[in-house]
Amino acid sequence: MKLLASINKEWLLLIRDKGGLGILFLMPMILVIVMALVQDAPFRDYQEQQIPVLFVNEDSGTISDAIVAAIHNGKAFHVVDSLDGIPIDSTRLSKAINAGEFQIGIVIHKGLGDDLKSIVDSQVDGMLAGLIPGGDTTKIEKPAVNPYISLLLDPTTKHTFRSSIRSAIKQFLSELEAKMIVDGLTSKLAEMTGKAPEVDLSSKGIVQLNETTATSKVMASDVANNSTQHNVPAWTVFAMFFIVIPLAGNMVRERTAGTIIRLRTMPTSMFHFYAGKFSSYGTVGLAQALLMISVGFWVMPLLGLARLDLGSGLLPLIYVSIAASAAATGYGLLVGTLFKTLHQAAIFGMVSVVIMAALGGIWVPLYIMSDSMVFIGHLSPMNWAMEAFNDVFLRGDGLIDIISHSWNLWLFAVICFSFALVVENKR
Amino acid sequence: MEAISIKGLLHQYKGVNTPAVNQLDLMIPKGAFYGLLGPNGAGKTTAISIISGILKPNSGSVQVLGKDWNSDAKSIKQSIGLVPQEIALYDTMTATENLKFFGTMLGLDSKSIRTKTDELMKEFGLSEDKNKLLENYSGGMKRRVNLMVALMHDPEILILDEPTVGIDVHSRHMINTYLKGLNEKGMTILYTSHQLDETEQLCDHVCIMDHGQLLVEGKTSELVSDGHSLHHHFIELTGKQLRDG
Repeated sequence: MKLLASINKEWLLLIRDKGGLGILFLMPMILVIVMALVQDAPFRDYQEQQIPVLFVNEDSGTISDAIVAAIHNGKAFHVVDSLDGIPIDSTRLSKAINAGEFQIGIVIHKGLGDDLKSIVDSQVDGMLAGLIPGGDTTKIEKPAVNPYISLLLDPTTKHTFRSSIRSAIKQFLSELEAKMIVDGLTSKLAEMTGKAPEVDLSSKGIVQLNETTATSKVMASDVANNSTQHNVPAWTVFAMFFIVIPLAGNMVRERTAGTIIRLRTMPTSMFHFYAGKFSSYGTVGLAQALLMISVGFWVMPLLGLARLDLGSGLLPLIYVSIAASAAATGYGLLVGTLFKTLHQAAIFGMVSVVIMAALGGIWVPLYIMSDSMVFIGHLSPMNWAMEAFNDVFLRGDGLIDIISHSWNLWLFAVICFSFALVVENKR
Repeated sequence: MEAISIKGLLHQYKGVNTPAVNQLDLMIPKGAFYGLLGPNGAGKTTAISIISGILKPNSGSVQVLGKDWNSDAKSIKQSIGLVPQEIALYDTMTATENLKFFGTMLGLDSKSIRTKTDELMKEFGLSEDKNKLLENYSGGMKRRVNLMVALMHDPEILILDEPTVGIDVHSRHMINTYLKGLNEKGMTILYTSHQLDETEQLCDHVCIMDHGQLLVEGKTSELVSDGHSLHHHFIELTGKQLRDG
């Protein structure tokens, strides 16, 4: 009876605070959409994005033409070789990169093709001299050239982006060099034997990389790797924990208004008061999670993002949402109990949630952090919640597995709730 | 039997050098309308908080209707009604919803809550406004509801901490008349106020305290029998130094 009255009171206060209610649901929804949109690009292959590249070819000849063709034909880059209708030179290219107009510039220097060819020829001659009986490799002259392609990068480009660009360029240069060596060898062998060997240089390579995603449920790699699938769980958890601020604020207001003091003079346990808040705000948290999941399922496809795949299904998803909401609500009760002013509770609540999110891998995945940070990250309830959501969305775990994985969220909720109650009763 | 009996009460807040209540002894007779007076910082609210069970004293004993807070807390809570200095209500709930919530927390059943709510609404002139949100009430109306909550379970002892602060003459008159009526029906009332003329009219017993200690206690009629008002005695005992800083 008292618990029901307490729940009813919380609902009345919640539904009549239209502004607060709007913030509780609208802000997380905006957050999850914005973050999924912003983070969409890093989840796409750079090759899909056709990054604009300033390009200057100072060389001429078949080899440099082949490099130019490889860059033009590759999916990774959109080649820009003139600005305002004027062909660019290396000076203009440097200026444009330096001004931040473009992120990448490539310059093929004069003589690159000839230098490359002379090195390849020398290597081919050296190889054949080593194979032919009586051949003298010491007589092979090594050309004193050092061919290179200049890659200019905007200083603001991130390390991972630079690595991707570098890898893409190195890949087609390696392919070109390998092809030139093989061509050189086959032509020399044809000269020596009168018969040209047939070599099939498959552009795909000989050993293929068979990539699959290790999930309990068969999940297409494009689902496992899209922005929606990764961002919805992470930012749902982040937004759910932000319930700490309105909840703690509500508790501080009750204390300053004197309603808590009044209740303490009544023949009732503070458990009812806390349980009423826990169940009401916990339900709000669950509704927030379901709303954000609905946004991922229905709204994100309308914005050009992938539709959220519900992974192992609705039941495990609801269970995880309840567990995460319980943890967030328990934490909010504790913050609201420990702090005496609205200011203290709001600032501590907000900063602690941001810290827990940062440590818990909401922004940056834990697997790229140092061992000590990974250890600390695994202590963050937000990491537990995100991993529980990932179990559903990405790993496709069933309800039983998820129940056994998410016990820590419940334990955290119970500890926070009990500690808050003990502190309140000690006052 | 005394309604409230206090012996050697001492309470000192953390970080404060002097005790808020210092070796306080009080005997409040059953059925009394008892005025607890003192300047700001005298220790009135601390004493009331300890009597109501909100604060635990560092030492000393408090008995309410012969029962001890340590062993009979639930029973004592059922016997007292506290009207805090603040409007301890939910602004975005109606008066009826507030009374229903606190009534349930007091352990009353739905029927009793309905009956008592109707009765109090009528007596305090709020029947027509019972479904208005409290945020739309005037200060005086809120003060009335603040008092009504404490009366929902018909307590034997009513404790009021400056219940008429910031309200107009009519609301104050209504509240004071109602309190007088309750006292005449046998309810013990412990009342703090800075309105000394009002206290002199209402209270049959008063005590004046300062710096956590009792300065004088007795029947109001005996205290003012020398022809001087309560206000005169108050200034005589507590001095003229300003206390609101």
